[in-house]
Amino acid sequence: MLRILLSLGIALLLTANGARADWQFFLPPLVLLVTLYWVLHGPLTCGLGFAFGVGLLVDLLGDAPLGQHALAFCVTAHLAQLLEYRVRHFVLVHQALMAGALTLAYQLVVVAIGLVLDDGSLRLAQFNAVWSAMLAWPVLALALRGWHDRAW
Amino acid sequence: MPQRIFTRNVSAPRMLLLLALAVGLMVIDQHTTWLAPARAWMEDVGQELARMAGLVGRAAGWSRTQLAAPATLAAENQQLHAEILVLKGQIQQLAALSAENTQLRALLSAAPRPGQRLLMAQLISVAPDPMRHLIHIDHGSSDGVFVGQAVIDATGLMGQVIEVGEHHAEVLLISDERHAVPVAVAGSGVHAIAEGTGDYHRLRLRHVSPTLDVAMQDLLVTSGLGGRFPPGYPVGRITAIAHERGQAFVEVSVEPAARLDRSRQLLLVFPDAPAAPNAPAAPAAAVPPE
Repeated sequence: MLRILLSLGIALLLTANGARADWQFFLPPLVLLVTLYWVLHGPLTCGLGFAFGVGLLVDLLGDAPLGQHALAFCVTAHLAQLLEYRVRHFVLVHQALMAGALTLAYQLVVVAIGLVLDDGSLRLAQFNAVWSAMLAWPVLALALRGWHDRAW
Repeated sequence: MPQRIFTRNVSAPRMLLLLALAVGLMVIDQHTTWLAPARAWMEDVGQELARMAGLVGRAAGWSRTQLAAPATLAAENQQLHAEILVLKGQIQQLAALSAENTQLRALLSAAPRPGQRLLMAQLISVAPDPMRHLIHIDHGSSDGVFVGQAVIDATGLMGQVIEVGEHHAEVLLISDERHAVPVAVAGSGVHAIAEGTGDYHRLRLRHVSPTLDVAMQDLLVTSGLGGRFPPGYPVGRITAIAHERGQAFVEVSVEPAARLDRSRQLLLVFPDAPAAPNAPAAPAAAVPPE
């Protein structure tokens, strides 16, 4: 559990101390990727409730409507859970594609809620994180695997 | 029941329960203030953590300064002394101009302009969502920070405080799509509204008539209309004026004067009580950080 909290804490701090620049759209959604990793590899400890809690934290840090990211994290984690057995047998390249697809689903939910609540606008740049998520996933998965007790 | 091999059997009721909870939270958060205390408390905790993380970065910066070569430090010191000298010279001129302005306003029987006091603040974190141009600073209600307060950096207007905790505050930058600031063209005095575009390097002026006296490289300053922003702070320079045929207004692009994407040291502007009409105006005093 300590490893999970520590990895999430690092991801949250890296995100909160991120850059203020237009290339910010290309930064990978680290908190989401770390959450997905633990949902996929620690299903007994990290489930939907865990994803919901992390989403609430992201809402609070980003001054978003409470529940917006929580709902998006929940939906994405649910999709990840559905794919769990399959993903475990994927090689890293295929896992990266899956991470991109899940990030796309996450962004779609966040944008849709933002538009419904009239608290955001639609910009194509928002979906740039899909590419960076695909690039970041192999590095992140390899780094977290070092912490992980279980063999893949 | 056939055993699933490729997909996992996940709990649908739990998923639905959490979705309903999220939707409920959103509705309550949007339409009531019931969650405000809990939200404020959680934000305080989050900002304290961010501040601690910032301390690590500041420690790294301190060690870099300590380990820098003496020759580099001496050169930097010399350069800073030269800059201070130049700035002191400019302040002398400003004080004279300010006194002259006060006298002229008294002759015109106009109300004297209130003075301003500045407080230095440090950036502690940035909102993770790139669609929101929000930053957090290390001063809050305990330092007298209030909602709506103007925030500047060394070169121009940064934004305004939109939320205040005890030891931190949230600042909405002028480049955020939800932000608008009343401006005036320095010189001609033409008034307009500068809106954020979601791009750190571009603001836009809306509803500018083609006949108005605006030109490329004109400096825009806060007009003070509405009373939220004190007048006279640089907002940006006009970088493009586009007029499409058949359109009633021109599209004016403005490059912000403040370094919205880089500044880490900011200044909070406190309006002082108006000075007496015949009293000489004092220049704004910068309060050093603790």
